[in-house]
Amino acid sequence: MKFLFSMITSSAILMASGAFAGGHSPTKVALVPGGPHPYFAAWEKAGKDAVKDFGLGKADYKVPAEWDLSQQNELIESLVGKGYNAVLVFPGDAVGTNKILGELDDAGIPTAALAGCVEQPTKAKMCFGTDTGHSAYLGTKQLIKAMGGKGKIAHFTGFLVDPNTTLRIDAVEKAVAEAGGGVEIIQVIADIDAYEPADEKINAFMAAQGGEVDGIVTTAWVPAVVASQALTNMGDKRIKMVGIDHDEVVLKAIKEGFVHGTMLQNPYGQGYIGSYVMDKIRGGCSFKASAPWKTTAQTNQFIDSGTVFVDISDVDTYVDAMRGISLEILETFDGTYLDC
Amino acid sequence: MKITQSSLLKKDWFGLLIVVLLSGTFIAMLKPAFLSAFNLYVLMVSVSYMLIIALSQMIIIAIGQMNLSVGAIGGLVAISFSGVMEVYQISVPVAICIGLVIGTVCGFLNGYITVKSGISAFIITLATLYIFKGINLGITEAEPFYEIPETVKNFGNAKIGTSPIPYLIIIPVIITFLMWVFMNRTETGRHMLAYGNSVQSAELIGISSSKVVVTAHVISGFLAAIAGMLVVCRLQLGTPNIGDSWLLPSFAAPVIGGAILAGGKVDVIATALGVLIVAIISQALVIFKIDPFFVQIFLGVMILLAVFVNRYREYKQESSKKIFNND
Repeated sequence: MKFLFSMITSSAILMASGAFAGGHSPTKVALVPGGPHPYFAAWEKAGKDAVKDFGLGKADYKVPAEWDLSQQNELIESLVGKGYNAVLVFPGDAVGTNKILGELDDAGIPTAALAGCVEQPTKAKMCFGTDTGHSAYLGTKQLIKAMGGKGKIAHFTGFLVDPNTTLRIDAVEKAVAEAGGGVEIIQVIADIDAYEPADEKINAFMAAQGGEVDGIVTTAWVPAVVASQALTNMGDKRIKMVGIDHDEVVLKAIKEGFVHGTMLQNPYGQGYIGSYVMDKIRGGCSFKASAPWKTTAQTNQFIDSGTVFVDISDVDTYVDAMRGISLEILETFDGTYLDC
Repeated sequence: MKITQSSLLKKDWFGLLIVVLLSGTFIAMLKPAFLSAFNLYVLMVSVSYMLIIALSQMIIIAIGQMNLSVGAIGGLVAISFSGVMEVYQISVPVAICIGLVIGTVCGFLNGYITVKSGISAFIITLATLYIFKGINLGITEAEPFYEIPETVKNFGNAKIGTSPIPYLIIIPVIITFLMWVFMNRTETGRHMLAYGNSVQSAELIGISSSKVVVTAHVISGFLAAIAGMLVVCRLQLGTPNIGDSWLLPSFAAPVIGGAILAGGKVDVIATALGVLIVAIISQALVIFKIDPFFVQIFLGVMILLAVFVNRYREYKQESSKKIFNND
């Protein structure tokens, strides 16, 4: 049965890859997140824009029903069976996802890790995402500046099993260490990537230590939303907070002065440029041996999709800021990374 | 009625009450902020919706089954409740009714399919979990609904007068009382426990299996719906992730409260105290600044301790029975 399934899948993959057709058939990109999450919603528009601007056959955003590696793999297999011939994926597992990426590569289907990396060795052509550690570092620097260079801060972050979480914790500690002893981390609360436990733990923290904390840095989506709401509900403008991402709740809290600012990532640029690169690879381009890759804990083929700090002065125009970063990366991408 | 030590020992909730009082006193002695008005408010808020979630699972445990779709029902109702208010500008009372109907229908489907198919509720609710979650994602495409009316937001975040008591706790307290009456003072409630204890014996004395199972699932869906809407009130948004983290806590509180997973034995008050214990432990871990990488270990150990204290009470009770019999 397994053999039969494998044969059917392999045939579908080969047909989708254009191996029988020959040449550069229209590129059909599947953008597959790890599971449902509002962060990835911008990939849908990015894919549509990429189709329009670069003449791709398709670039569709397809979401697995839940955060589960096997469901993500099954979805990718079914999409390839339907004719998609390039895959951009947020890895369901930093190691486990490599298996399907290897199978796709064997069938001539290019892939890349988007918004999160897979561990090397990998057949993914690149990892294109936020340098999470750097973003957390910059955000903490902004927070320390807003606090006047001294005070006590708390760090709220996401899943402990996410390798990015450790990078973020280390980056916040690094920024604090550089503050010269005037700043102290009084608590790190992690594993609060679901709303209910985040609400419980962040408010419990506020109740117990709200009086002594001067700043909050959040490095995951849900804690950023819940902490913004907690400060808004408390009516507290004394505690400075730097969040992450662009949830409406966070942006509203910035406009109302309860949150100092947020570190924006670039999901639109990831989807838009990622789709463009997949088309280039399918068209015969390859990455230069001298490409200026960045190195992270997981990969040495990392490209930073950009991050920007937004506060009350530019919160209304943040979309332009991110578009600017995307265009900047796109303009220089071919010359910097590709041999065509 | 005279309350004696042995009559108290017979109560499932007594050992848990001791645990709550001892742990509360211990934490307050080390961290006086635990008893601050704000902290008590936060504690009551977390207890409020978790209480309904636990009761939603407890009633299914009572009949010897499991409902894996409690969170999926709550999530579907949460996004439906917030979605109809945002997209169709439907008034809050009508949106509440829609939410309750959806939860009840989901519960009915769980019960009806379980009865008609003869397949375990574990399997059926595993399947409906995916169906309800799939509908949720199909509707929202993973995007939250943000336009929640001010009245709903205020209800989820306001306190009664100058007290630390949140409005949010009122409905769960009323429902806990009604559930206690239902399980202990109504024929249907007693039938559920009898059915959970022994299906064959229950059927022999004329209890309708279909009625018991469908009723339990309908009540479970109804309660999950209320929990989903309470979470929307609290979070001030209807996000598709609501309910994703409910499954294990929904079992933890009834089990801490002495419920037998095979059915026939549940205790509403003990379940409520189980919810309170889990909330106190979660708060204590934050208050004592436990390293995030060790939080899960502490949570597990504390829950085990709470269960052991309650089992010790049962052991003492059994010992006194033996002494009485020997006399």
